[in-house]
Amino acid sequence: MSKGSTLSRRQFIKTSALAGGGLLLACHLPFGARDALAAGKTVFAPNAFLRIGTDESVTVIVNKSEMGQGVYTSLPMLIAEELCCDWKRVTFQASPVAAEYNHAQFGPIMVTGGSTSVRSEWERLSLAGAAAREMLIAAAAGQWKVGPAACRAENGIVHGPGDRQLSFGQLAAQAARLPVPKAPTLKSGAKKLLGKPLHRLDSPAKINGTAIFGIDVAVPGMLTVVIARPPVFGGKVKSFDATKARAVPGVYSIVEIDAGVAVVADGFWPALKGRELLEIVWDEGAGARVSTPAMREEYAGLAATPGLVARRDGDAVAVLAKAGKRYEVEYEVPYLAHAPMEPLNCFVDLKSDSCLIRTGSQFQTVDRNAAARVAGLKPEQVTLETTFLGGGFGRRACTGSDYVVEAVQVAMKVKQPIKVIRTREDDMRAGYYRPMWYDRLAACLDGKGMPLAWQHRIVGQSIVAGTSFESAMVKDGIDDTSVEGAANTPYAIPNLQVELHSPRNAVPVLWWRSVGHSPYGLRNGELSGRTGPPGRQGPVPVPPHATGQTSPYSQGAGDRCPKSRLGYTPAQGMGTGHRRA
Amino acid sequence: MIDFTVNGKEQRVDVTPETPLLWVLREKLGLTGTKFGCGEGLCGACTVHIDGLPQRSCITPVGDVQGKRVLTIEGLPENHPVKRAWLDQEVSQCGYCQPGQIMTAVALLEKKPRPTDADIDSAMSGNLCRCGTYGRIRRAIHIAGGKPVPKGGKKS
Repeated sequence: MSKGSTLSRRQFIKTSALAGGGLLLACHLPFGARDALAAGKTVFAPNAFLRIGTDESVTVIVNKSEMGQGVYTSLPMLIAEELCCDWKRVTFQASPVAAEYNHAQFGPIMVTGGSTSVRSEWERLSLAGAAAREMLIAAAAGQWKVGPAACRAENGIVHGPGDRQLSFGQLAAQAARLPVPKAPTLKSGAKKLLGKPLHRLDSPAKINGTAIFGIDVAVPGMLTVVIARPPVFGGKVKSFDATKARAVPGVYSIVEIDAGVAVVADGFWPALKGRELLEIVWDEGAGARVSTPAMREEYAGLAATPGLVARRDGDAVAVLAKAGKRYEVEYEVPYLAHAPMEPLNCFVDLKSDSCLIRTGSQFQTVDRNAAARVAGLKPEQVTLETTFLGGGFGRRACTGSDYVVEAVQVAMKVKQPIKVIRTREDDMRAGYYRPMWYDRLAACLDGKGMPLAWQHRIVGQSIVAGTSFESAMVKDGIDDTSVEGAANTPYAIPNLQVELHSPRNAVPVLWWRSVGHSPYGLRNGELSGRTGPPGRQGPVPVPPHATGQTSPYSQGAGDRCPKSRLGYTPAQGMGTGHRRA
Repeated sequence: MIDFTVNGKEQRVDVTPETPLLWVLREKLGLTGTKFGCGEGLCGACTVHIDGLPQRSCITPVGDVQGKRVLTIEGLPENHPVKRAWLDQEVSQCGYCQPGQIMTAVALLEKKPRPTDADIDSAMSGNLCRCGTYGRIRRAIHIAGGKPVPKGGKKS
């Protein structure tokens, strides 16, 4: 795992302003230029994100994983806006794993997450487009023997004095010989592409069946694998009998790996049939004692005792002790699987000195490094190609790279290209999950019905405990993501205390869409609904002006009832929260 | 040997007859536009037409399509009104479920060219979308059926 991820999620965002100023344009192109050279086309590759062909093609290399959010359109738009190219010529390509493609704010790691793709790439890609435009203009100006100020680029054409015109394709070869400007100037004036609705560049492939997701990857001679995993988390294979499984036509071999027993076949169906006939004795280990009722009891017990303090303003405990009327509520949210539509899968072609992985990953550097570690290779010997992702939700940014590691382990034993496919049941049962949470909240109001004190005690597993992210993201025992949305609530409450218990157990947990805000929106909003006095104010007791911010549901300071925006009046106990995520 | 036609082309495959059609399409014929989502006929990602009717290929033994006509997303013409409407409305997000959604929508419109919202909800209820594109799916089906929908129409 990269040591670079030494910032918490919140710190990542805080440092963005600093990082943004020092971005450099990378000056070589790991694979784009190679492809173009192979195609025999002269190419202008001013940086890692862009190449322009003599055929007028504009290819944007996208370093973010496409999982529905549209990065194969939005990120090309950032470059195209500054490049002043013809949008109809723009295509996209998934980037390889290389330092040039690391997250612009998250340290040396290639990752898609945290709703950061556009905002983190805005400056870098805008500058990349501007630099290329300046080079194309310089190339034209040189040819015409005029100053660059006398030229302008528009829609893929550089225009010069006297109606002179040269297209980007005509200029590509010359521009490629020019130095890359160190401080390109961004365009002034109105945007031509940004802010306008455009059709997605990836939609045609997604509706005609040609978009390649990880599960669609195939090469000649590839074998398909399904894995029998232990019935409890942390379980191990004690012994197994594969005689019947091996007899299934199409089953090629049965191998044991850390995750369980892998059935390798010439297709998914024989692999699945073979798995059904495996006879496995499991060593279930300590995980066998974990149960939902036992955890609820443990968590409820912890919720009754003070935890580590994640935030303390004023003295909520003392104020609550003296309060006339206290609102006390306990909330539980269950483990939740990410359940992407495309079940997890991973293709691996392992050779003695190289490893090719094709999968839908949100966490390319981590996955590549994990594969290298498992295969005994150097990271640079591992190539990871990112396919389309049939949903991510954080599941494909796995701290343990589980679905990559298990595929590499199978490949080490099979010596042929393989693709592991999880069934839907595998995908749901094998983890990871949003943690189960047990929360206890207490609040009291002042004479005006505004919250005076608010105590929130949180019980749930840390999603980074035991991972390489723990040392960076857990401070003084507090995992920032465990209290995200609670300790940094936007509500202005004079006496606020947030406490945390982080029990550990065998259930694998992971970040998920919106991370801490996923459970806390419910808890804070719902309790807000309860504490609000019925009647005049409606069920929103903490109006936006109490937070010093504007709520999306507010029409102004006097409008405390969100009915006009919601279209209905929330019932008692059905709160309207104010989130800042 | 099992003989059937896929997208108008005759195919002969040598697999055990209980093998689901889905895996024959994907692995033997290289037609990976039809997706695996659940393997139980519950999510609709694997929807294809068999003799004109939408079917879940993940639970259809290939032996059952002997002599029948199978249509997959790859066999739908590029200019099909449903595909055009899908592009117009930018229905796809991650896109994984969309081939199945489209095949179900095509079958609905063949049966009922001007469906109501209720018709659409009923016909499409077996096709899950984890991104939640249902509102746009409904709009696109109305458009493909020729019903004018105001630009930026009501989102649902």
